[in-house]
Formats: sequence, C-alpha cells, structure tokens
Amino acid sequence: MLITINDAVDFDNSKSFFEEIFNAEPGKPFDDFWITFINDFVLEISNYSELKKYGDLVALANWCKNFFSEDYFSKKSSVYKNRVARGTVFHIPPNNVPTNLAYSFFAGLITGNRNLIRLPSSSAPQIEFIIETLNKLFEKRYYVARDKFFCAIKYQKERTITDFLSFNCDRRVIWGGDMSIKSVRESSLNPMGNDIVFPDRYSFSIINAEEYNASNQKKQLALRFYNDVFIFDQNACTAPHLVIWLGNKKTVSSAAKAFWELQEKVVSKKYELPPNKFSEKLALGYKYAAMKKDLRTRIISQKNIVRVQLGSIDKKIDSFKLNCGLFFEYTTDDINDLKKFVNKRYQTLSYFGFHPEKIRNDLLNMQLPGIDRIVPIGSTLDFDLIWDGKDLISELTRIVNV
Amino acid sequence: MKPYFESIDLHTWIKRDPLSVNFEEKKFVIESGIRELTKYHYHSSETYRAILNSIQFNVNSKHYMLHEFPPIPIKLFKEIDLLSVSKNEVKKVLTSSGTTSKTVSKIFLDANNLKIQQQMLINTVGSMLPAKRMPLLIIDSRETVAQGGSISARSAGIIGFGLFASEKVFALNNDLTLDLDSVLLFLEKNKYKPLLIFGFTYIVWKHFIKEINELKLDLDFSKGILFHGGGWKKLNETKVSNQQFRSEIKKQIKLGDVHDYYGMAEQAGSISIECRFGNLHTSIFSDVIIRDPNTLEVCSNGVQGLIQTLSLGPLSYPGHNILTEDLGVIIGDDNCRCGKPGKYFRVVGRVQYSELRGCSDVYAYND
Repeated sequence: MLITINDAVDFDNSKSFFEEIFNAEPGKPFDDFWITFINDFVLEISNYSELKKYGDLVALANWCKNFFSEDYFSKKSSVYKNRVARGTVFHIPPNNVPTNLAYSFFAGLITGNRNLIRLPSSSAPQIEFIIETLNKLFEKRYYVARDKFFCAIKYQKERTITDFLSFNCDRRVIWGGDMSIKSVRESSLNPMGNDIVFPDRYSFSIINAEEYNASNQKKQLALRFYNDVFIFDQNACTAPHLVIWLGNKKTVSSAAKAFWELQEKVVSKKYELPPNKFSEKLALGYKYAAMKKDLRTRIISQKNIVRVQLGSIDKKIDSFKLNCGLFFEYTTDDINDLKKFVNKRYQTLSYFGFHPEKIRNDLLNMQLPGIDRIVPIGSTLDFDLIWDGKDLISELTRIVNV
Repeated sequence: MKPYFESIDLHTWIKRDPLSVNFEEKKFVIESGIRELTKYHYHSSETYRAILNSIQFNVNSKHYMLHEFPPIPIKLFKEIDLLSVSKNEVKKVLTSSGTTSKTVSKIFLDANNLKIQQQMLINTVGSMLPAKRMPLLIIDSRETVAQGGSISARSAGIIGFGLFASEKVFALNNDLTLDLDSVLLFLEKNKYKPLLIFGFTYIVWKHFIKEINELKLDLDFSKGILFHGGGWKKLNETKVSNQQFRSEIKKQIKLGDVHDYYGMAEQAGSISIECRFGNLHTSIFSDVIIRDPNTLEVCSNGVQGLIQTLSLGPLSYPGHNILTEDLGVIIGDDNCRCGKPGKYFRVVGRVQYSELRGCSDVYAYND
C-alpha cells in the first residue's frame, strides 16, 4: 500500500489505517510464505522493460535470488531459534542509494515484521518501480491477506507524522547520514522501541602492489573498482575514498600507474562527470595540501580522477572526502600502519591481492576501532543482513527465553 | 615595484591611461606580473607554497605562459586562510557576499594592498568619468557601510566608488526603503552637473527602480552614469535580463549610461566594466581566461566555460590567479566596437551543480 499525506486532513484520515498495522498480529520469522513472494518480486524485475538502465535493480534482483536461496529460511531458523518478530518496523531509507529501501524492507519482511517505509523526497525511477511492484504484488489474491506487511508513506517534512510513526513502531531503521539521524531522533520512540542506525561511514581499499603487477586480471579489476565507486558517484558509504598500496616504493609506483591508467579509461567510457567537479576536487586536494603542509603531498589530476598522494597518514584523513572520483593514496609496506589512521567511522575495506581470512586476522590482532566488513574489490555493494557491524535479523526479532 | 615585482613598475602602470595601452604591452605586463606574483606569494605564504608544491609547480621557471600558471579555485578562500603577510599586518578583512553558502571568503588586506586597490579603481573607473569628482548617489543605506576590521564586498564597493565623490548621498533608508527626500534634494542640488550613481545590481532593481515605478515618480537622471555590479544571480531568480534592466532604467529615470561591472571580493579593485555594446572589458591590471568545466583546458574565443581571473591587485594574499564558479565567454581579443583596446567578454551565469545525492535524505529535514 502507498499512502500519500499532503496535509493534516490526510494525516487524520490515515491514522486508523496505521492503528490497524500497529495492532496487527506479528508474523513469523523465516516464514516460507515469503519465499514465493520474493520469487515473484524477482520475476517482476526481470520483466521490467527498462531494466537495462538500472544496474542497481539488476543487483537487487540478483541479491534476492541468491541471498534467499532454497534453504536460507530453514538454515536461518535453526540458527536464530525461538524468535518472534518485533512488530512494526519504521524504515527511513537514504537518498544516495535508491534501491536501499528494498533491502531494508526485505530484512523487515523475512523477520516477520510489518513495514512502514518513509519514501525519500527525491524520487528516483527505481524507487517508483519498486513501490509499484510491491503494491501490485500485495493486491494479488495470494498476498492480499498480508498486505499490512508493506506500507510506503509519502510525506513532506512533517514532524508530527514522524513523531506519530516513531512512537508507535517497535523498531526504527534510519539509514543515515548523521544529519538525518540527528533530525529523526528528535522524534521520540516509545520506551520499548529502539533505533537501528546507519550513520556516515568511511570506506577504503587496500591493494597488494606485487600481486597487482603479477595479475592478468587488471582490466577486470578496473571494472570492479568502477562498479564499487562510480555507480553511485562515490556517494555510497561503502565506496572507497582512500587507496592503500601495500609494497615498496618501486613496486607500488608501477602498480599505481597501471591501475589508475586503466581506471581512467573505464571511467572516461562509462561515466559523465558532473559540471565543475574537476575544480571542486582540486579545491579539496589543495585544501589538504595547504593544511597538512607536507612536502611529500602530490596531487595528480586527470579528467575524471584526481589523486592526492599522502606523505603521511593520520586519523583525520576521513574528513577529506568528496565524490565523483577523488582518491587519497598512501603507500606502505607494513599493514600495521592501519593502526595509524583507522577510526570508528571506517566501515568497508575492499581488497585485492590478499587472502580474506589472513587480512581479517591481521585486523583483529590490531584491535582496530573500525572496519565492519572486508570484501574483495567489486563486492562492496553486495548487501548482507549483517551490515555495519549489526546483525539485522537479531535486531529485528526478539528472543523468547526459557 | 619591490618586493612583489621585478620586471614591471606597478606605480607607473597604475597611472597609465587605459586607452593608451596596447595589446602587446598589456600582455607583457600581465604575464610578467603574474609570474612574479606567483613567485612572491610562493615565498611569502606557507599555505600557497604547500599548494604549489603539491602540484610540483616550479616558480623559478621563466617558460610558463599565462595560462600555465595554476589558478586557485575560488571556494578555497572560504575554507582556509590565504595570506602572504603576518596576521598583525592585516588592516582589513574583506568578506565576499555569500549568496548561497553559509561560509564566506576571507580576503586579508594590508595597508599597502588597500591603497593599491584604490589606485587601480581610480584608474579603471576614473578614465570613464567626465570629472575627477562627481556628486555620487549610492543606491544603498548608510548602515551597509560598516566600519571596523571586517567589511563585506558590498560595503567595499560603496567605499571604492566613494573615491569619486564630491559629495555622497544614500538613496535608501536603513530598512532599504527609498529615502525620497534625499534623492530629490540630490537631484535638485546637482541639477546642472553630471551625476554618478552606484549600487549593487539587485538592490538597484528591487529597492530603487521598482520602487520608483510603484510610486510613479518622474525623476530625471539623464545626466547620470550608473555603475552596478554584484551579480545577476538574485535577479535571475526573478528572471530579469540585462536588456530588461537597462530599458527599465531608461524608462523610469531616463538614465542611458549604464555600466555593469564584473568583480569579486577576491580581486577587489580590478574590475571589468561593461561598454555600451554590452561587453565587459578587463582593466589594465587584469585578464581573463575561459576554461572547460570538465577538463579545465583553455577554451577558444566564443566557447563558454569557467571564468579564470588574473589580477595584479592581490599583494597581501595569493589571490592573483583564481578559477571562479562563473560561466563566461570571450567574444574577441582586441576589436570591440566601442573602441576600447583589449580582450572583451561576457558573463553567462553561475555554473549549475547537478543534484548529487548525499548520504542522507537531508532535503526532507533541512530547511
């Protein structure tokens, strides 16, 4: 169901409908019923005539297909035992990744919750398609009895509505960034409610220079890096803003040269830089150089990619962040250098030329204050229900203990 | 003029009649001037030096052509302090009029720079006026002109044009309503004299011309010359073109000699003034280059792009070479119909930022 609230009258009229949702019976976590629903949803996406235009919708369909595989539900119910849904989940998705609201919704749905989704004020075609599709499915005979599990709400800047929905929900999922969270938190939850927040995060990449030089997958890597970064204009929390080169100076020098040349080629072909971005990127690079006053700082600019090579690195490097292709680079031959700069805000580390478990062990040994995810370059946007260090299944259900 | 310049003497240049300066002469002065100022600021400003080092620019090389000297993106003046003197030598801090952003540029001026700016303005504007000093009507309020260590670009403009005034009258009250009595007295007192009028573009439009229209007044400014600047952005929001502006002024106050000027707080003193054919002419202290907003390569004449301004004015701060966020086009190099020598150009507008999604749905929660 899609509810549009344009004024106080609309709001009043919708209240009884919301009450029904708040007071409805909770669903069962990992209910097999939803497997068919998800399959139908995937089918709808596959039949979408404009699908080719939207890489993120393709990714969403693939995710639904692969993530909720045949035995996912049975596997999960044996791991997450004795669980009941929380009740009503109020989702506030972000602006930067339109399809994100679908992931949030499915997390709520398969854990047995009823879902209220506040639609982002900017309306991307992907969002419209997703909402229309969900509406369509819930009108079908087979699903209509459960139509209270999905309610998208469109409203503008209205504090009283956010107050009402926040107070009556059981869990509120705020997808960031920091300013949104601060603002939404002005609306209180009820004492039994809780927030699941995804604040502003910072992500980076690490590349083993020797492995890179020896690799015959350089072109593929360039494409994978492009997908991680440029699909959402380097705005997604998972997109890297810093590239750490592991190796000695000479090895790194040839690796970096090849890497960025290939990357610039891919970007030139596939990407359209927004107007004035080049000088904006230079301005931030100059700002860094001016504030740091390190003689080793080097700014290398190409049409689409501006690189700022660092002479040294510290915990504040994450405050120099832009989008559309600005990268800070640091070379080291000691992975323990991560201790020098990783702070709480660090979320995703994407890598090439490392063994994932070794890197995780190295990181755990370092007891770093940040990094929730370690994935190969190209996989940063792969959504997981363990996200930002939180187990969404656990957060959206409650345990009945004996 | 030590310590800034070696091959040029700014003191002499400042006294030159702009109409007597030819293309080659100006080219030499600007190129040498920018080369030497780049070197001077490199040695005098730690932050500027760090920036030039980061892009490996060699300030000692004599081979760079004008377009090869790296411009500073104008927004940097909002974000860091750029100065080539110590803080206690700073006499005034000029701030830009922020139209959209919450932060403003800070321009640090020492006593010498303030003086030079004034002299440059006198040279540029003075050559267009029938007399050294004229009765000046300021389309603004007295309150706008703040005193103290920090002044806005708007008040700097008023103070600047005040240099040409034999007497100064403010046309607006503190609440920006028309002070009709003062205006009428001004006209009456100076009935047979040429008049000088100055104001910021949108103030002139909104609080003077529109008011006069509302009140259906019949004022005769036919002997007047109007200089207005500060940008069209606010007017663009109400969809007024330069042509409309001029014709409305002609209609309401019979004033035909109207000159837009293009200038900025970051390079106060060296303004480009509009001729009667609607073209902006750089002063003998400045030059413009147009750059493609995507590649930052130099555009040929006739092609629109980002305006880069070069000026010999900024001496106490490294503002001599700036990449603005304005879009413009160079019409020609040296053959404007008005007869003024040198490059002439037009400003087309501000660069449009496409709406990139930030991480949060901030649009719904911020006003």
